[in-house]
Amino acid sequence: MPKLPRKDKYTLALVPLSGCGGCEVQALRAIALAKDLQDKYEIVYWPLVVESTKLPDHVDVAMIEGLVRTKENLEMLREIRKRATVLIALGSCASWGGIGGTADSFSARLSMKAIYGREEIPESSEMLPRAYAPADLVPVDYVISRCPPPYEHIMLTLRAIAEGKPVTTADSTVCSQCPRKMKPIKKLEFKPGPPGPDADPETCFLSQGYLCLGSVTTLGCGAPCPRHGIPCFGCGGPHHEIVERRDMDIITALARKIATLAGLDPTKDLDMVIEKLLKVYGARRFYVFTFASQILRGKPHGYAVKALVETRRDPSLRKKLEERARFAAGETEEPP
Amino acid sequence: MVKITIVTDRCKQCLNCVRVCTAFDGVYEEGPDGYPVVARPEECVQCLICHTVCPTNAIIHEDYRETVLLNPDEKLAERYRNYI
Amino acid sequence: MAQVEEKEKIRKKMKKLLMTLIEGHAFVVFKTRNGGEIEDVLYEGVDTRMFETMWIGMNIDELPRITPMICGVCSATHHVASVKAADGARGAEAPPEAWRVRYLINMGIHLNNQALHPLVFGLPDFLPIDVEKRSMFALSRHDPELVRAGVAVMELGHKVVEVYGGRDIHPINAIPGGVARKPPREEVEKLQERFEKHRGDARLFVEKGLEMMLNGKDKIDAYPPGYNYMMALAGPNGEYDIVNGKVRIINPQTGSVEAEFNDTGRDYLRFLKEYTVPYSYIRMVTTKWKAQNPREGTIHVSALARANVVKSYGVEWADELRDKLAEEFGKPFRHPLLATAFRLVEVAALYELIAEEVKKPIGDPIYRPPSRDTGEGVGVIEAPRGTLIHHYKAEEGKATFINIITPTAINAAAIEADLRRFFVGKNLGEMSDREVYAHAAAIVRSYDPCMACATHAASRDRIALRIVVADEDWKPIRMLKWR
Repeated sequence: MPKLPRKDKYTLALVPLSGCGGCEVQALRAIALAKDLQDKYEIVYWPLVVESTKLPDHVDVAMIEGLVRTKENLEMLREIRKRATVLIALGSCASWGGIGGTADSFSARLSMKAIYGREEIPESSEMLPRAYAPADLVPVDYVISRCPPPYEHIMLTLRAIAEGKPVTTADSTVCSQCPRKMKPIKKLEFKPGPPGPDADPETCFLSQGYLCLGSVTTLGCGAPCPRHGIPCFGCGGPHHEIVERRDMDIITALARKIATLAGLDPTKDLDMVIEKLLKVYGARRFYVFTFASQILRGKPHGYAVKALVETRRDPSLRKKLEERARFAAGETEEPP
Repeated sequence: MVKITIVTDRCKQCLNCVRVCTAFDGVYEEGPDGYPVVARPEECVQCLICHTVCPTNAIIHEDYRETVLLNPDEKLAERYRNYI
Repeated sequence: MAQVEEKEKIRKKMKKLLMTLIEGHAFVVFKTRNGGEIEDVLYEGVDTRMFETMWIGMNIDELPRITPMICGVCSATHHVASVKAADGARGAEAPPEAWRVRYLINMGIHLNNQALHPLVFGLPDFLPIDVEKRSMFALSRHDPELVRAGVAVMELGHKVVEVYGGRDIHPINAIPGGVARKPPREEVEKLQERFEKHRGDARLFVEKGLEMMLNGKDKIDAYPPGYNYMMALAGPNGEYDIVNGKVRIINPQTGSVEAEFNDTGRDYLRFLKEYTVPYSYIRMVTTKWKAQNPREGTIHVSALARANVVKSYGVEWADELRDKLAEEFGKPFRHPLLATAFRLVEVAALYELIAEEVKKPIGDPIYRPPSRDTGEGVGVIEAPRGTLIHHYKAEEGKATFINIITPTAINAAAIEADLRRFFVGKNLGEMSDREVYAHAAAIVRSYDPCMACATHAASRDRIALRIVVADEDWKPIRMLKWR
């Protein structure tokens, strides 16, 4: 980890790329609610909060939010990496590509045509052919994953960095904080779509046959979604073991757990379980927040590339987009 | 001998580890309180498949087998450079 | 040779300004004639994240948890609009108790955003122009009590969304057919206590904020309105209703209703027209009857439009505050900067309405299963920034068509119109950079534009201000760096 020289006040920048601003709001809350952080950091660049439009030549701590979608995002990202001593990837977009990565389901040109009725916006910034996770493009020092990260988490991290201490972490998954009881699966069957309130509120979603990504998602949120009767979506990003190990992937790791719960062998019956999962949900559903991540696309036993190919080659989906393009261009008044 | 701990704070009592253990007698057993217990740690062959099926990473193996790939050292390698 | 000289003469200049203190990234582009006289002003959004195509072919029931991620600031309002559209597509009729939870989610985010905007973006504008780094922290040095109270109200809004929506940012509780869970009683009780405790803060925040704005009355008057229409959703008889009701387009000069349409169904397509411009990633919106000349059909949506459409806020104090502003500025309210004042008025109204609403427990049932998996649905609601439209189509449970019109996309044309009204004809050479910046920023910020929303969706290196020398067709010839 990079060492910051001891100082009374560190400079802080937050650089938004193509993001939703949720992480910015959380960072703002973190700083607005913690008086000591206001003393320790001086905000030098943050379009949301201060008026200054000039990125200083050097900043001590910088945070990036959002994913890389345009050429200007990319230039900005490289610039901030050069100028920052500590760079923090804030949120799932900066870490894994986040929800914006799902836009890679279709080629950028086709998507642009479907939304704007034309392939490019010539006088504005140039669209890159795919979405990138910033953490894949430049080395980052810390990753604060989750969509959005809890503001206490940002508080702790900024405080620890200012004090020169290591940032404390935990190593588990969302399941560890979920109050639902895990029970063996009686019959291996998957139900499409999220459950209504009629699903058993005490039992684990996996045991009931719904898709829940809690057991492969890194912890920190307190499992609010399963508490509300809505399965985990994986917004926190994959657990670090899945990221680090070459033989693991989100689908593989999840299928192993499901197979064992169903009393099957996690190695021999793995392919059968994966096949069933893919058939019901489609591969894209497992990578909602990690679709653009090069780490998951590079997995030898992963399905991220398969998901990409599957959707892009699907002629019926292409047709829907082309119909929408005609609507967007104003050729038809009626939506398809 | 390898030391196995189950972090009960994290454990979901799904007993995936009991079901999956490939050792002859099975390392884990269901305990009286519903949590799995490490009943026969000496059986463990350190395949670590229990890690991959645990939904919460609640199993920790300490001092487990580490394999070192032995390459010949620099001097030895140098000697073999012009062997033939 | 003579020809080249001729060419030199008609060279034009373009100047780009990065906007700060707004959500997301936007540029204001000035096009000037030879002498520096401003000819045209454009408003540019610089990126897109393609929310309208990414979920095609996936489960429609999951859209209400995907679309909040369009925007982290007003995520909850997207959540409610999305679930309203998904209800239509799935043929679901949510029971009244579920609607109460949805109302509370939307009201919570309104309270948060209407406090956040004055605090972080709006009121710093009323600090003196020459204060460098005008920001919430500068405001905090100016008036610490105001900022403390404002932050407390903001947090309270987030708390409401957290209790009723499941999460404070990107909530998840509403599903097609109703909501997934009733909030636990302890949490609601805690919320009631907090609402009682912070009532003084809300009062102080609204009073001090309005006082600060009224002291800067000449500043509000300095920016005349340039847009053509105003649009807002309200109850059938003009009640303050931010989820269900009728959408009305009014004339800002007279206040007369020009058009009225339903908040569900395809009605909006008959009155609104989206079009793509070559310089921005925002799909601009104009009224259908001005589609031939879109610059004459610009629509303003925000708290200001609501203040004109709504007959009564349902809270006495808020109505009094509005009457006071009416005495000061006249009705209908038109000045774009007044929107910030009405955000404060809405804080006053929402605070009481939510405090009343959380006292009543949520009953049963909260869910009715959807009846079909192929269909079409539209949800029009009021977001903190104005009218928000979600339009979905589903086939066999899979989304096949998604169209989202956000308030900032509607406002983008109005912002441009206001900027034009203020700047066109003025000479860029005669104003200092700081001045140009402050004027442009004041207009843009008053709309509270949420660029992440508008582009479904920074700055270039260190050149935030730049001048492009362009030929007569506005093709850039060379770029001059500008510090």
